[in-house]
Amino acid sequence: MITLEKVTKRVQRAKPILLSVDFQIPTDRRIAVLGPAGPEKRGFMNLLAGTDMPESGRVVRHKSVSFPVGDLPGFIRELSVRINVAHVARLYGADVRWTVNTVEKVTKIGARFDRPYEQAAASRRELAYAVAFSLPFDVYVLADDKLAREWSRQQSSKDGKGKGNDIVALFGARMESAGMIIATDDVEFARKHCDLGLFLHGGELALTEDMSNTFDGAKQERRKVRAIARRRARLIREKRG
Amino acid sequence: MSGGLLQRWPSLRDTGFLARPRRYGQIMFALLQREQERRRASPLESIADVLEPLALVCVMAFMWSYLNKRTTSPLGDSSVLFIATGFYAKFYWISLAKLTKATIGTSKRRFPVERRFDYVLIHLLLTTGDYLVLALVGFGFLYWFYTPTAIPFNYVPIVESMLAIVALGFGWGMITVVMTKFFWPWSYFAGLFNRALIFFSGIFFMVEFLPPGPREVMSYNPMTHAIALFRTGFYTNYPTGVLDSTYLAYCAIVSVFIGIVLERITVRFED
Repeated sequence: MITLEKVTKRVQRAKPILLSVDFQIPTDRRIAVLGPAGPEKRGFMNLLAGTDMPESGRVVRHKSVSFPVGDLPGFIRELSVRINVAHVARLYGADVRWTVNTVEKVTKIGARFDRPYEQAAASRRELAYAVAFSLPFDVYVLADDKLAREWSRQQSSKDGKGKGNDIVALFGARMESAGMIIATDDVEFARKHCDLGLFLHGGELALTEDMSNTFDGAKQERRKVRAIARRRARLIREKRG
Repeated sequence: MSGGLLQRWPSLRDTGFLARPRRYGQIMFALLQREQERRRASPLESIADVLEPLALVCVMAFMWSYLNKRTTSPLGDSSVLFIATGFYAKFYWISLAKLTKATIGTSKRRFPVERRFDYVLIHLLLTTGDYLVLALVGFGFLYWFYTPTAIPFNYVPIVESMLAIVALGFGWGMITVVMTKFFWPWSYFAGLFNRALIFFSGIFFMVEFLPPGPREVMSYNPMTHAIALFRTGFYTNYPTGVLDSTYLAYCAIVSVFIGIVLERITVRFED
């Protein structure tokens, strides 16, 4: 359970994400955080993971909650990937050797594993996923849904295996054994693989098991965002033309 | 990769006896170990703080022994030891107060379990370690080549003064961190100001031997008292006319209080 107690948070001290919200978020379910991607949603995910602090109120985590998956905020560029991974394992009290070996095996970055992290820029994303999912958190906070959608695609492909990516397999194993909080605007994915919908709008939170309403809301939001994007693209085209 | 491999894992959440201190110990140990690796990767950068006082003392020792042989020490038989003790205490404080480098901008570059205060503690701890090594090397060198009085005869005032310097450095460092957030050139001004204070802390001369006016002004600087207290561990006949341990203790307590309050107030609004 993640408990929000009178939490207020704004984006750049102006746009509200949450306004004095009391809320309880279960950590043993697969939760889709719906709504258009943007600074509000990113800020909310950071708040849950603990990367950001609320302006007032507090966030109490009763279970071990991951850092935002897909990002490695604490990695030092000058140090080798191996040292950085060992540091994370030590930081979270996991088995260092096991974690380092798993990440090395899963990411397959070879010799770059012992070179500075800045040289492993190309595989930074896979590295971030591998590090997060090799640590046994109770609940994972996914700030983007790319990996989840890839996993979903592999699940629905005919042979059920797809390309056979180890990171996706690792994610699948965690999906079965741990809680997930996934920020997504893919309604189909959420309906298929998540059992709770969390909707963030105008400083308020809504959690629902009857997901049709939330999804409709998300769909409408998505439509609005797409319309804005189309308009913007048209304007740019006209300007250039 | 199978699910079976993952199942062997216990939860990362530790709920046993003394879970919280044990968890905190783990985090501090991890940070210390990474700092060690970082130093191994760039050794010159890590000793830059210690090199500054060392180089200054070497230059002054060279100047005094070759260019102006008539200069005598304000106290004791070695002028090099006199300024070395002053510079050591002063630069220990300056290095401790460099909290901006250790904390500003780190909030986006650290994992949620690492807190800003952990970085502050690690900085204070490592700087103290550096300066203990510097003391061993520097004063050991002076003992062998200059004067037998470079080994302190009483360690109690030295430990007391170093504790006071840690407290003063922490408070001033936190003030610098907070002010830099509002006004970014502050950290540069603070660096200049810290070094300008070298002339107002009684490093090159005895504050006791000054005229009453300047003596009173300098006695408001807590570092003057800290340096005087530090030197009483080296010199048996150090005059303690200006030294006021009670004033130093009050300053240290107020400084720690200010530091902790500033840390708590601003922790929600980092970056």
